[in-house]
Amino acid sequence: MKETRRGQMVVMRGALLGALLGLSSCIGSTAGESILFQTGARGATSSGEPVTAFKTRLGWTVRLSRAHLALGPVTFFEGRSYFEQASWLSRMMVKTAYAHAVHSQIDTGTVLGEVPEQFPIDLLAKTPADLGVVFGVKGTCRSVELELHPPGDGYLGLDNGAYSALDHHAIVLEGVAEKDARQIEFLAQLIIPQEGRQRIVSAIDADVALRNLSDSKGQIVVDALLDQWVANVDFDSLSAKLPGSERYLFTEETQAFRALVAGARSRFGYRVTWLGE
Amino acid sequence: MTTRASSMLIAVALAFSAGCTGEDTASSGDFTLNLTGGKGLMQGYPHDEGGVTQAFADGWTLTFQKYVVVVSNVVLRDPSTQDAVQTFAGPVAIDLRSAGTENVEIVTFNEVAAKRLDLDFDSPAATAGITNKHVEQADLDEMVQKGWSTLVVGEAKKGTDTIKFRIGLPILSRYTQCINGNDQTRGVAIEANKSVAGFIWAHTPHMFWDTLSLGDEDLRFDAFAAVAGADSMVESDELKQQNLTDLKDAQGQPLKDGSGKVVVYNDGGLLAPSKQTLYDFVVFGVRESLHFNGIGLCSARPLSK
Repeated sequence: MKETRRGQMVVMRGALLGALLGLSSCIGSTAGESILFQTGARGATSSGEPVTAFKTRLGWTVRLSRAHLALGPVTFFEGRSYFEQASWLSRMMVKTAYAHAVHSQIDTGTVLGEVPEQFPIDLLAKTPADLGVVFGVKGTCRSVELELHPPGDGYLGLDNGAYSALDHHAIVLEGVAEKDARQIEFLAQLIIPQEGRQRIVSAIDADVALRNLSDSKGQIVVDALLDQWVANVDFDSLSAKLPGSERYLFTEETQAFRALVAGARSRFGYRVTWLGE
Repeated sequence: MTTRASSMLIAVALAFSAGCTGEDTASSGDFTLNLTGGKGLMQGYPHDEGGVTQAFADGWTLTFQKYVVVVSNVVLRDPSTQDAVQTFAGPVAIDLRSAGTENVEIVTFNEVAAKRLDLDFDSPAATAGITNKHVEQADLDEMVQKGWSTLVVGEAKKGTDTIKFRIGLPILSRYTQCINGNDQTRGVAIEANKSVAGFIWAHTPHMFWDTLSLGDEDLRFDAFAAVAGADSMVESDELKQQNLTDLKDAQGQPLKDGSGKVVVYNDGGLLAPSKQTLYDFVVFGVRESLHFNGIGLCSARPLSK
């Protein structure tokens, strides 16, 4: 069923892409104008340090040998990501009367475009991974929402084999953390719990004017900020080793696991930029 | 039907319509804005509200002795132009619990144009010379000194344990475009030749919810109690000791719930890595606790410093 629907989606998307590409080249610049834009994702650090070696907020030097992410869907919004009042609808969806959480929702406004599938991202790669061409609406993207599911929990954008490095996880990080005289080899393989909106990262700030593919060969790129992901990870909390290996595992009962989950699903764990030609 | 007849019918319909709603733009009315804390504040926890028992998931009972909120810059705005129609500068500090009544008046606006208006207000830090309504002077002095806009004092009990709390917070927020909790429309309809009342609701559970996201929220106090120290009193700064990625109990062991599961607060991905403490979590949650006419939500943004 999933493959059939995915197949239909790909066919429809291709047809629409073709039609819109032809159409967009001859439409003037007006509000609500349909455009096509290229999307991508990569690993980065907020500090500008290399993704293969950076310092964390807790003073660890982390050297990554592998970093992979299953990313998608990704939605690009016109609305800013500060917190607005909940819509009438979202309030009605709260489980019981008077039982509501912070209920500060994000007024994300118009959807400018969406990557509907999941893509595997090698976060140590030198160039952004291709998330495909999106047919959307011309405008300035001011916030982004993305989802972090294990491969197969959404529609796959590539063949199954492309996700093998993830080994059915949403995130894989492998490397060495150093602090003072301590050196800790680690392997983190994460599946974020499917509870509530835990796999959805909302309100990622952006300020990117989307440009039509016919006008620019640039792309909107989601940067996964690896130093922010592990900002609060205390590698000393790791205690269980991979059998037959010196690598410590991010097991669920550890602070390291909780801190990495918090970092990966934080709106501050991502940055959105326009990468020119 | 002729054009003229149609016009007359529309005019008559509009006249009746205006009479029904009371939103007569040619006249004016009065609007009183109160502050209230509802059942949660007056009765504590547990209590019944809307057919639902509001209780702490970790077994604590909790009562409030003081609940001070600072309000200023109340503005009624024309929704189409956003021009201020009437303004109350304030600021005023109100202790809702000590007032002895459920509603405490913030301001009454007289002769307000009878139409629908947006409501905005601020919750800034208390300042010297602020209008004092029922707040103990020593509390107000401390709020001024520490830059707090909210002060919540009370105690929680579980078994033989009693933990007091005194939590002052610099919420420092501006609330705009408030939704009216009565009818889910925006702002308030001022009725001609009538007095209309509305209220800002200081919604007490926000301080103790374990999520900043929607749904599956629980009221918890264990993480607060764990940092009370030898004096059995939790104060604001002590909440900074609780790391959200590594909550501890009073013995310094991982904080677990009744089923032995590690307690995790869900920040919804909204707190920066440098703000992963219970203090920052509570500040964020309480910032969203001021509503209009029930659960009428307002857009809350930090006041610029």
